[in-house]
Amino acid sequence: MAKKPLNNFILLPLFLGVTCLISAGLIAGVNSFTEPVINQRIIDQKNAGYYKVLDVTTADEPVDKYEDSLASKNITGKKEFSSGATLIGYVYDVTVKGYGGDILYQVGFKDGKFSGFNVITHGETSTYGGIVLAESGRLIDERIKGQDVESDLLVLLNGSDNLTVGKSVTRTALINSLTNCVNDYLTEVQ
Amino acid sequence: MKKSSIVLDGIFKNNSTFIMLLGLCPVLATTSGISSAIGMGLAMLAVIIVSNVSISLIRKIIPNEIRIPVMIVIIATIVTVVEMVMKAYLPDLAANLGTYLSIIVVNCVIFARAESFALKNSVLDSLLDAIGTGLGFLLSVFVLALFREVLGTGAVDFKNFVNGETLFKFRIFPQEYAISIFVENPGAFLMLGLLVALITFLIPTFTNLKQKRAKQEAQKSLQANLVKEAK
Repeated sequence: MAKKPLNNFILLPLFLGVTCLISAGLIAGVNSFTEPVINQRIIDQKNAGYYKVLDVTTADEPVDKYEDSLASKNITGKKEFSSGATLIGYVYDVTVKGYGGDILYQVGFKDGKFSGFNVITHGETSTYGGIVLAESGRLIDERIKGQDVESDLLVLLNGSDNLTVGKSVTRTALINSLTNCVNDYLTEVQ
Repeated sequence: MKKSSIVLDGIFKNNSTFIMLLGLCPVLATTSGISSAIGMGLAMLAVIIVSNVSISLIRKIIPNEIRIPVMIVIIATIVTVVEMVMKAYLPDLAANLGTYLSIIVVNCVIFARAESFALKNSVLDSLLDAIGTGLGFLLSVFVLALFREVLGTGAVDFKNFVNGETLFKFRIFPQEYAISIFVENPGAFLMLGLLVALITFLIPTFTNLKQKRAKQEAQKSLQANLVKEAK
């Protein structure tokens, strides 16, 4: 009679543990072949995005201007683009936490103005925060493209329809990280 | 129980959306367009098939006391695998479904089938039950999305799951006559309510019609027998 509770005390956690181990192994196995595919696609999208946000079709090989201190500002990449001796502009890769998880985007600066905005990945739901990031962030791109970098970002993003109101987590993350990029760009060009 | 009726019950008689009203969160959220609805339906079909089969396979060794956590681990694993595969090979669909793909883990339709069917029946029966329930879910989200998209935009737009490009677009009536609320969030509740009401009205009507016909046939055969006996 006393044997069963003791058996259960060991057997039940053991069974659950084995189930978890098998599951972890399966997930790790699938991840080992899906992760390279996902990463490669992100790299391809990023490479195409550099030209898109600078609004150019060709440029010389970019110069990597990334410094470790930028990591604390959510900036994961910074590239300087030139064509011969002429400076075209700068593109920042940014990863911030939105309401639905990480948002990976690029923002470009050219001649003291925003030259473009491009979302690589995000996890926002399509009917809420995702509205502002849909179609690779087309709405944000339209609102900031060609605007002076020292303009009020909140006013620029809100527009006349208060687009970003109500999406506080995502909005704050976007505005703070964009401000960090603007400040770094201003330091770079001054 | 006949094998075919296991499948058909899941699709029609015990349809998870329109009859049982289970797991309505992804149904309401992913039916603004037929592309995302079909994607959600297929993801659900894959998850329910694998979960029902795996739970039925190990049903005899799962201790009753920890069956719920074991089922959660199995279903969460399957959903995570489906999510990773979708993100790798169907990125646009994965982005459209967003969080709703992950929350299939806690979908009560999958739990209900695992707990009430897969734990008590053979692997083949569980597979058939999963196919029926999954197809029933796919059919419901497709019908709901079709009505919402047509009434809300006046057209049917089917997008490529990989890059989001339009594969075909069929305009039924001009955009200016579209009732855009149907592709918005309240439209999901409205349309689901209308369809549930329609189905709830139609089922007794069909059942009564069937019973009436059966009664008439029984009376006819009785009369024929009486005539025969009289002769």
